[in-house]
Amino acid sequence: MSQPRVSLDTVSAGQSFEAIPLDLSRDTVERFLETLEGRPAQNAEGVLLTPPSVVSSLSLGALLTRVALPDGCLHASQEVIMARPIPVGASALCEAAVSAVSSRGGLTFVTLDFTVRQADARDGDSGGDVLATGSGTVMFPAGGSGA
Amino acid sequence: MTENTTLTRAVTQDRINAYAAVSGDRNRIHIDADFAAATQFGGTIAHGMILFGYLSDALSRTYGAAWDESGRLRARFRSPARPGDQLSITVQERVRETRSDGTIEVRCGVECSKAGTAERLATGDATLTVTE
Repeated sequence: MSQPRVSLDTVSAGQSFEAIPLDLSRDTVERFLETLEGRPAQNAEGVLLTPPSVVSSLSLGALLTRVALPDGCLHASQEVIMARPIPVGASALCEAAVSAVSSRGGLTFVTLDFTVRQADARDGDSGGDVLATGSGTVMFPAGGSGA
Repeated sequence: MTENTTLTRAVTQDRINAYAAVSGDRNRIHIDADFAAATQFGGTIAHGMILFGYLSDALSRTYGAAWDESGRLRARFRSPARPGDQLSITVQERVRETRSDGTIEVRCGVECSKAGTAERLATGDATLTVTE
């Protein structure tokens, strides 16, 4: 049974969330790229690669199944680091945790870190390899919703 | 050799709605005109991740698969993009350093601004590895 969805204005630093499967299917990646007016890149072997922006968006989307954003919540910053190429169609999981919560100027800032890992290792050597990491910081009015 | 790229993109409510649908980020500030009209923005604004996607796409068009394979992008969202905005997205290569293994680390500055203005909506830095 998955964790219940919690509101972002109730989380605390160190809180982690159950690993969430990421849908890196060709259809999903293409829909993201169409929305972002992007295009997939191919490596030298002709393998289509999942762009960093799609990895970030999918990870954030996965997190939103665990965390509800308060109304008026704004994105302050975002980071993604590709640890290795992620072929379109790969099986992956997203792990996430709250790394920081702070307040200033009447706003609460929450930083969520994520790690994307390989999910379908076929041998013991590659199980759970890190594919990408990143973080996002969002801000919202301290004490509740409203933009 | 240094690489520089500029893309232009138009922000539309249709694109914001499409991103909300595919990403699952249905924050009302992005898609609910009545709610957004009562905020300090006076209307809907684009998801920061749309700008992040534009920055990443500009890097992909500059460096191809090397970006998707090894990229690191860090961006700060400084001001919201709104429906009707025309955006200019730039990649400016700053440094190329050869590592001991023969690969080359490339570092860039990236920026998304309102086209024809100095208003910066998102800024950041990117790093990737190339082999040539």
